[in-house]
Amino acid sequence: MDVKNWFRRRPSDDEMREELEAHIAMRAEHDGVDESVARRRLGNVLRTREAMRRIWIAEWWDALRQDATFTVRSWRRQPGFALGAVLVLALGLGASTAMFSALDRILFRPLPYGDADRLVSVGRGYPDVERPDQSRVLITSNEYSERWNPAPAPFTAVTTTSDVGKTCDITEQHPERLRCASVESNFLQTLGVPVALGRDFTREDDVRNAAPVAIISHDVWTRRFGADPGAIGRTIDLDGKRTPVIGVLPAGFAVPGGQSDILRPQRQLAGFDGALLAAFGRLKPGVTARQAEAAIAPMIEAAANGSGRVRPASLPGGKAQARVVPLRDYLVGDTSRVAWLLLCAVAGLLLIACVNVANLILARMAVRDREFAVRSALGAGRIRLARLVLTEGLLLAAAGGGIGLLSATVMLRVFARLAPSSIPEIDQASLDLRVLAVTAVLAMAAGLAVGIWPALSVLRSRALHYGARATAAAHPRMRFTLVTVQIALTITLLGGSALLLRTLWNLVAVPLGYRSERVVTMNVTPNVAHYPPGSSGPFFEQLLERIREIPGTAAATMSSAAPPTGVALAGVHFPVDHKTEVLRQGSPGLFAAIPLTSPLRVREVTPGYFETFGIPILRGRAFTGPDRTAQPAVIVSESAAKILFPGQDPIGHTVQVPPAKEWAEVVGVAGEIRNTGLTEEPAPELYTLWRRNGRSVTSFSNMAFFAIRTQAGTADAVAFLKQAVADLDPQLPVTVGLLDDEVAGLTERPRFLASLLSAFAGLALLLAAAGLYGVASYLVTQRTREIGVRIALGAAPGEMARQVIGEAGRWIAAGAAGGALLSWGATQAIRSQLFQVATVDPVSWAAAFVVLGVALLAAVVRPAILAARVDPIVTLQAD
Amino acid sequence: MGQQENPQAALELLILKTLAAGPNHGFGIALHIDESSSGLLRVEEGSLYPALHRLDKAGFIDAEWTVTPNGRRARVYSLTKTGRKRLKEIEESWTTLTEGVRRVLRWT
Repeated sequence: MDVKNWFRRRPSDDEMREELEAHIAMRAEHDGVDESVARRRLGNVLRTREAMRRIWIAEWWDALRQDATFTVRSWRRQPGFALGAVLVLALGLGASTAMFSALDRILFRPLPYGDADRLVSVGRGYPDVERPDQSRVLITSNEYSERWNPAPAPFTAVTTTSDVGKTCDITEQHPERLRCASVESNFLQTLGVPVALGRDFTREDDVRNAAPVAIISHDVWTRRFGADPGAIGRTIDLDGKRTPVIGVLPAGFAVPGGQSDILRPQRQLAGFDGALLAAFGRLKPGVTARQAEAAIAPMIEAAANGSGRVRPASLPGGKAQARVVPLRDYLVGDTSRVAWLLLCAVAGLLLIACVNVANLILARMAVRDREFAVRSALGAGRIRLARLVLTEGLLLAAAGGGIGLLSATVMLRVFARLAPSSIPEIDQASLDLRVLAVTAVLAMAAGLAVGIWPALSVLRSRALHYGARATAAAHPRMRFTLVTVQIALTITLLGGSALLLRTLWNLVAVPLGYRSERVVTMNVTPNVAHYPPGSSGPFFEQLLERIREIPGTAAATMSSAAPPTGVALAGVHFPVDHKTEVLRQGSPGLFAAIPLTSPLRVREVTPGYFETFGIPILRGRAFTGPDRTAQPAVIVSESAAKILFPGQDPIGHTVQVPPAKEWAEVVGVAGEIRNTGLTEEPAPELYTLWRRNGRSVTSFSNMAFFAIRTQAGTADAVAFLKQAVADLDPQLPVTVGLLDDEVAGLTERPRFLASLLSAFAGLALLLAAAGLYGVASYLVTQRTREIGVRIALGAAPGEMARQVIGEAGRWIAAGAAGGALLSWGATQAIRSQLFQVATVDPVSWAAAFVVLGVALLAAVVRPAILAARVDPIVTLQAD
Repeated sequence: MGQQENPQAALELLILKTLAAGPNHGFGIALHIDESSSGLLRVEEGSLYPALHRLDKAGFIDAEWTVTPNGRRARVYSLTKTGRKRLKEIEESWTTLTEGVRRVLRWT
């Protein structure tokens, strides 16, 4: 029969009745007889109608409905079973759903660009200053202008962005701080994203000193213009410049590398010359990223060898390799490894939940043997019975999926709280249709997974022929196998979480080199319209004065970057001791031979910095107030001293700190601080003075960090700091926070991983223990007669208990052995997340096995006691 | 609809043939078969309606509620395109069958 005929409209029961009644009436009228005669002639009206109805109901559907009705009725008799099974499945499915929706954007969801599979990030790979484990792909604007126009051979087009996510201010009636990105004029075109409204940038827009124009995000358009199409052509005051809006971006668009509210042409802005750009290319069809990388390598190489105006080798990180990275990899970076790890963990949990429920169903099957035998005797085929148990599994999973969805909303919120920055865009994750579809598929798979075992057991069972007792022996092997699988998965999760907990422990124990308690930090970026770059100095000075006066302040400072990370300025060439001739790296003496991968950091600070952050001065002295106006002074970190002045006492030597051309005297040596995260060796640092009204490096970035060490409550200090800024400029947004929180942020990802995996492992252990308890109890009940006879024949009750425990112990051992193998593979995936812990760390694994053994043996204590307490008289009398 | 046992196949043929003359309701079909066979064939009314619904579900006929000239609401069936094709097929096979049976009967 054709599939399409399944969808023909089924007449309702009323219609069928009416049709037959009309027939009877017509027959009566035609034959001129009574209606009852006509009715008799039709035969049994009810049966006819039933026959009509049956035609429309597909047989399988009918059977399914019967099975479902029956199953639900049987649950009502045993609500405990149904509730337990549904909850266990809900847990597994809910966690999976929440995890999937949290990770979907990173791993699976298409990027919001046209034909995004062919988009790549191109340029030179540099180590990321903030995250040394990752590299950033960048290119200098000069190199780009000289060599990348037209687009190199492997690409149909290349485009660039800069300053993505940089703050910008709308300075008109309703002032607002937004995020802007500067882009090349072909940016949207290359990404394959047309503007939703208005026009795209043109080449003419993207030249120095062209009239300012802006394309605004869908969000800004809705918020500021009420989604009015007339917004095109209106102007906004952007950073003090009247800027016409020429276009609106489509909803859901995001600039790669950061949410941006407004796009501006990049060449209009000052500071483009020599800027670092993020470049993106669209690969020609059939060209792979690897091929493209090989193709552009000579070009990158040539530029590095210095035929261009600016030698890229003078960038942080120095010489770097050509890189062509698929856009998704570029955006997600090493987070994808964490994401897969989490997905595997949650899949393990779901699997354990399924195995557990399958075991529950099998346990119940043992009890239902008699019922099945009766049904079989009444003519139910084996396949029909198998279908019945399969239906039960599917129904359980459907219910579990429903409840799981509800719990997923809660879990998703917990994830977002635990890992606000570890998982990109987790705040945007929600349970949309896509996620619902995945949950439905998972629930279906889980239903099949839990239903297939009992169904197989029915198909293989001989109970249907030989009566109730015969199946009893068939189930335990399957049930024990399932318990073993559960134990193996559990030990993997337990071991993994132990490794992560050790990692977390190690990370927290890393000495920071500064004292984070009672320190409040604040990040201030003045409005460009009020304070053009380079002119915010007096404002900062004024603010620093006010902050010093905050009650309870023990020390206060202002700096270009603050611990724990803070992007510091980095450089490669630091002439020392008044010698300016350029010498090659590696030549003896005069110049610091600085490893290119570990550039010196330069941080501009005011006196009080070391006191505020509690960084020890190991030799010499800290900065003092008068230093700010005296001869330039500098303080070096211990490792910087070793690099710049190997084997000498650095105090009294001089160094030139780029970009300044003055010689600064080293007045002190400061202790190392963890300035590149917890897992990396500290980068060597130079501390220069934030000079009063001097030309400072910071004046370019127009941003300053303030910090106070307070003796009063930190909450008060936060309020005072905010107030101090508001007194000077009420509209200026600031970010104020506790240094303690920021330090905690360093361990966010391992904390998140460890807590999640521990929770999963705990649940898995609980389920495994419950499963083992169930099987062991069942076994004892099953053997009550045998045990009774043996006790009657003189066996000690303790011996019986030992036997039960021994048998369980064998299965635990089998599971643990399987788990050890599984773990060996699984830990390879976790390796990159570990810190100072080997994947075969004996302490972690010993702990995992001990916890597992204790919990599981505890689970068989009660069944063992039951075995010992079997009363031979009672059992023998029962026969 | 695959292989059918004879009585049902015959009823199906009769229904489709009747509807080839134009849309009709169940009673009309029964009446038409009755009259055009000069009373030789009398449709079992209890199986007429299930047969109609089977044909409806298979897509050979369409059903629609209309009002008869007598002012009565009736479910009126009409032949679909696939129904017409189906009719042609079973008409042919039926003719072959009856012809075959006729020849065999004459032989003895």
